[in-house]
Amino acid sequence: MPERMTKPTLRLLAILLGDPSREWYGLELMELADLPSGTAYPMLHRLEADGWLISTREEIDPTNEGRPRRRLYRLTGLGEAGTRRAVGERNAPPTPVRRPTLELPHRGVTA
Amino acid sequence: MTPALIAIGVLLCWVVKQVIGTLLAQQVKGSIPDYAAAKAKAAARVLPSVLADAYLEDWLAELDALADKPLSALRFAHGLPRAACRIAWLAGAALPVSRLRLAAERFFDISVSALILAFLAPLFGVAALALRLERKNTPIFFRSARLGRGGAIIGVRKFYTTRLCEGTLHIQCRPTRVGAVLERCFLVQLPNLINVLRGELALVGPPAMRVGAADEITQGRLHALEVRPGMVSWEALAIAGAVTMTLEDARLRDGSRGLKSDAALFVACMAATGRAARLGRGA
Repeated sequence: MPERMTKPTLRLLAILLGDPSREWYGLELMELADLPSGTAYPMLHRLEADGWLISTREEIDPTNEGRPRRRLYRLTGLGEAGTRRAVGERNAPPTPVRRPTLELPHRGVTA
Repeated sequence: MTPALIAIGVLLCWVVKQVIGTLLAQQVKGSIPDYAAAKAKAAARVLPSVLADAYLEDWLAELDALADKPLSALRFAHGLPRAACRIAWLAGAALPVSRLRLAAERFFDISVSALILAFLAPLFGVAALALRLERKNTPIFFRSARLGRGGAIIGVRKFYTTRLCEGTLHIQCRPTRVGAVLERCFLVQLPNLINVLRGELALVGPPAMRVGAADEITQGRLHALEVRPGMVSWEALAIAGAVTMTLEDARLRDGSRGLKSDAALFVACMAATGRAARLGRGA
């Protein structure tokens, strides 16, 4: 699971969740989520490394199609379940934040 | 000069402007794909070799989808160097940085911390004296063991704002009177500047990790050990929600070498830290 679910990450995942069986290319996701390329591609890289996304090279004949093959992303089972959970949590009412406990007094260098 | 001549002059200027504007627009529009491809190639050079070819191929393939959208292509191309830096960082690659920038950053850290310490020396002295008078048997500084650059153990100093603890099962601690004043005035961390002068901390950098906190040293945090930890950090601000940036962006900014103590970045980080502290977000 990504270390922390930020709003842009959730926005991108929500688009993928809109049609979990569909495959999307990076630029398409970037435009739909309204993210700059400097944010979208690292996010896709990280989500793929975390096992939330899987990417494959488009299966087309570049000469027939007249364009190069793109990398396509789709949600994995883990990613789909995680996104559903994250979206649910985001829509849930906020829980009160507990302040961190205070440090006990120590002398000198301590761990 | 008659009004007719003025009108003709204005009209001529307008025509020339329109012609030049159209020619320039066509020229710019025509060169955007080349520009974007060059940006993609330059960005891919930052990536580790195992990723560079794959990403360059991906980016060039997607440029094709932007053939009829020059402005989107420009926006896409502008973000690629940033994307490459972040991906390289996520993949654990060291980003290229000049020795001059590293030296400039260290110079900035030393001069700013020395200046702040000199300026606040009287306050520093009063705080130390008050702490000593309040509790004679305790040291003035509290040194907590943290991981510094390269995993070296450093003692991060702060004022020893002793806490009075009560209770047996549920221990409740509260600061002493002097400690409470120092905490309210955000002065507890002031001795961190001594660590900055000693070269153990930077003004801005990743949060110093606790020794033995194995859970913190995940893949994403290992890079944090390559640079000096910071007295203030964007990561803490992002976690506290005091700045609107993703955690990855914050960590990238904290971990980037030779850039993070840039004057504007430092001032912005300090201001955000102050705001977060006032709001009680504990950044």
